Amino acid sequence: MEATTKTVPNQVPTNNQSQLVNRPSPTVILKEGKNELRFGPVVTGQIALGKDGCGY
Amino acid sequence: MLTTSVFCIKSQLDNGSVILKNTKTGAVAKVSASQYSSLEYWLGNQDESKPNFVDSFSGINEILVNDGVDEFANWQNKLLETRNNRARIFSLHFEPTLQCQLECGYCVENGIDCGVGMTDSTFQKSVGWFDQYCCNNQEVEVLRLIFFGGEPLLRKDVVKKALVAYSQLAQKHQLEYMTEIITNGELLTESVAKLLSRHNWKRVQITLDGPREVHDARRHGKNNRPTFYNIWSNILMLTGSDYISTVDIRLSLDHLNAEYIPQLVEFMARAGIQNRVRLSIGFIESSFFTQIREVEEKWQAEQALKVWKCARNNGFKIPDEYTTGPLCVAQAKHSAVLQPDGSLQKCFCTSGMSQYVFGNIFTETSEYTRDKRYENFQRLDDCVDEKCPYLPICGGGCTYHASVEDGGNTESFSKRHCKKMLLHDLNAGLLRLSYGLQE
Repeated sequence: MEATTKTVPNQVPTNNQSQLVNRPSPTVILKEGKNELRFGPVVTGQIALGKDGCGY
Repeated sequence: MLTTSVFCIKSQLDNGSVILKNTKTGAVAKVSASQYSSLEYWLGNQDESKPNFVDSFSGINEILVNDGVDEFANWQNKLLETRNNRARIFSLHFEPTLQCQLECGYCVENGIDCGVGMTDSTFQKSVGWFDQYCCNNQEVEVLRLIFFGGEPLLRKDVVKKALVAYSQLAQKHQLEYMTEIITNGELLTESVAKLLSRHNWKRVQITLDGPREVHDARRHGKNNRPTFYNIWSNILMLTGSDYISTVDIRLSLDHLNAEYIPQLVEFMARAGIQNRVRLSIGFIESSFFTQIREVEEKWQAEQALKVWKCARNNGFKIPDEYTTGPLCVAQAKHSAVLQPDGSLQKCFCTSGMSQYVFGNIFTETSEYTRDKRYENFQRLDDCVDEKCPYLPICGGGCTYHASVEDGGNTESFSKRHCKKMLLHDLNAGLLRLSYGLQE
């Protein structure tokens, strides 16, 4: 599985945010989440077989 | 109020940055040490202004979730709903024979009666059985035909017949169809590759145990006949042609060969096949017939991370997580291992063991491929009680190995196979390897 990179846009600072929080942020969501079971033959066909956890 | 998800794991980098991951959604984020401090502070003081990245951590990524949500209950409900009501793929492990020309000491099938292989009459009956199954189970939309054994290519005649018959059946029932094969690779010549490629060949898995000397000492034929050269030649044939896009190479790993696997990775890299190969690691564990020296999960994680680091540094793609679930093929609603004698099982690790048979192709039934022993989802209760963050990528672990540990009786199917330490160490390490350098 390869990572996808998406930069989270910095928000406009508000008056009462601390210096720490306000600093322009390199924070990124490196990989977006999915709203479903990510594994399982019943959904994706991507099964444990061939992934590390299953020995064969 | 937001709180950190119960499924959130974290891994710290040398510079203090923190990688956060939700095992349920798969979302991964990285924050600096100061940002992580600000996040922790804000979670305890949510009436103050929030750090600018907080919004991206909630919503679909679920690194942060609303306080009071029962994430475990929601996940369990979704698991069962998906497994029971959204089952659209039939995974058929087709075993033309249980015989094999290799004599690997750790094989799960050591000790079984390998029998004589599938007869034409049984093969024909299997086609009729699957035809009827599709009529009875209209929700099936995809057929994965996965050749397994023994060594399936010892019976190319059956493989050839099955490719034609099952792909035609898929066409008849308007199923998406794909071919896969798990093979030791020795007989996977170009003519076989050509044959498989005519039938939407999507996956091949070949196991290597180390560099030539190590592999040949473990995965040899009768009278210690070496096998590495033939297998490697066939791998190069596949990676140098277009019969299949990617070759899955499984690296077996136990206490006897672990130190040699990086050498194998470097050997493969020198062949320049990085873009055509997908590596995976198979930890060798005890079976019903073969006792493997127990190794610590911590040691397994360390060894695997050495391999993955070597693979990454040599240009191979590496996974960013280690998973054992939550659903394996044996737990899927529509799945079966079709044995050469026509009997049906759910897990290919129990091939040749009659006590794991749940049905056969000779008896008409409208029931789905059901073995209630593999529907024992109460085995997850302890995981929930322990609030294990790895549950979405583990699902209680391998039922087969739980059964081996517990003696193989009916009750053993209700046991989990907990590998929490391995999941913890290996996933933290993979996050560091995958995302640590992107700073």
